[in-house]
Amino acid sequence: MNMDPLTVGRDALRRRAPEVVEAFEHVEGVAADSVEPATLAMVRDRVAALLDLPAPAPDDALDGARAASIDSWHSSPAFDERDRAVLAFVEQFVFSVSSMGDAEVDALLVDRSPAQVHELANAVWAVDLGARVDHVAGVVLG
Amino acid sequence: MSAQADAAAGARGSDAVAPRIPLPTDRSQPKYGLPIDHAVARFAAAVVRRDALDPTITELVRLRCARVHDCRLCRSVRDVAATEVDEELAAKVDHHETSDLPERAKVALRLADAVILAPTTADARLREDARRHFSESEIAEILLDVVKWSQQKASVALRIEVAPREGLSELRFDGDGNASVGAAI
Repeated sequence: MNMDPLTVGRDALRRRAPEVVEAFEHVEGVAADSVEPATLAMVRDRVAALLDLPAPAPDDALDGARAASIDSWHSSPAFDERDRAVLAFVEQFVFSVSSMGDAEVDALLVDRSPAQVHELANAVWAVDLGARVDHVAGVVLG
Repeated sequence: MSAQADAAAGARGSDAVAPRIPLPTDRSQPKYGLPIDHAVARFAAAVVRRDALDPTITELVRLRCARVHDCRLCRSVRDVAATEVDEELAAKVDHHETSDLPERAKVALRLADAVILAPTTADARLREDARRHFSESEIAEILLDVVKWSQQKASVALRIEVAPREGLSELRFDGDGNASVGAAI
């Protein structure tokens, strides 16, 4: 049976630190519950692409038009301004969070409360760092 | 400003950046007291409770994450348990590959960089180096430390990671793994 590299990494971590991985997976579950399913699916797809990691399994929460054109979200008509605000935030978060500007956060705050933006930021962190550590753990511990 | 205050503040323009959402006000609960905040706090404590690694390696990895992510809070605290980490040593994490840090510390920081900078650079050489210097349990702890110390990316994005004071402060952990910021150093 072929397992994807991220699963190999997660399982390798789980064997060495089960209580920590359980706590992280609880975070992932709470984060997933705190944002819209389609938003979470966009975040997962975009984070994987930005990190040059394997694409996640297709998620029914994200319609085909957006799933197919997420790498060209800047220009694709499949995305509205609400989507673009999320994807711009994700790109800055993944590449250089210290260079995040007020504009990226203000765009999220147009139709989200500060608490919702805080929840979204934490969901992006869980997806971002989860993908990163699973990949590296797969290489060094798998 | 003292050398220690210099180290805490750095030379970054971010020190004057205002919070992008209102700061938390109830210090009796994690951040805003939302379910995600409680879940993250539980995860963070679980990471800290692991003790396979020596405090020096843990602190160097924490500082590397702090500096790469430009977390003003993390840059301004020093773990009191890491008694061997002075400011001269702390500064070396910025250019660890060309520093005179011990190879064991460099490998730990290489693992951290693989996670926070470019996961796809992790390769057989990194695997070999990591396994030469650390047990599997220690490697897992380093990697999960990086996830924990990168949690502040969410706060940095919103610029709610405010340093407690100008200069450096003590960072302490209780037996349950919960962090608190103490006195000025």
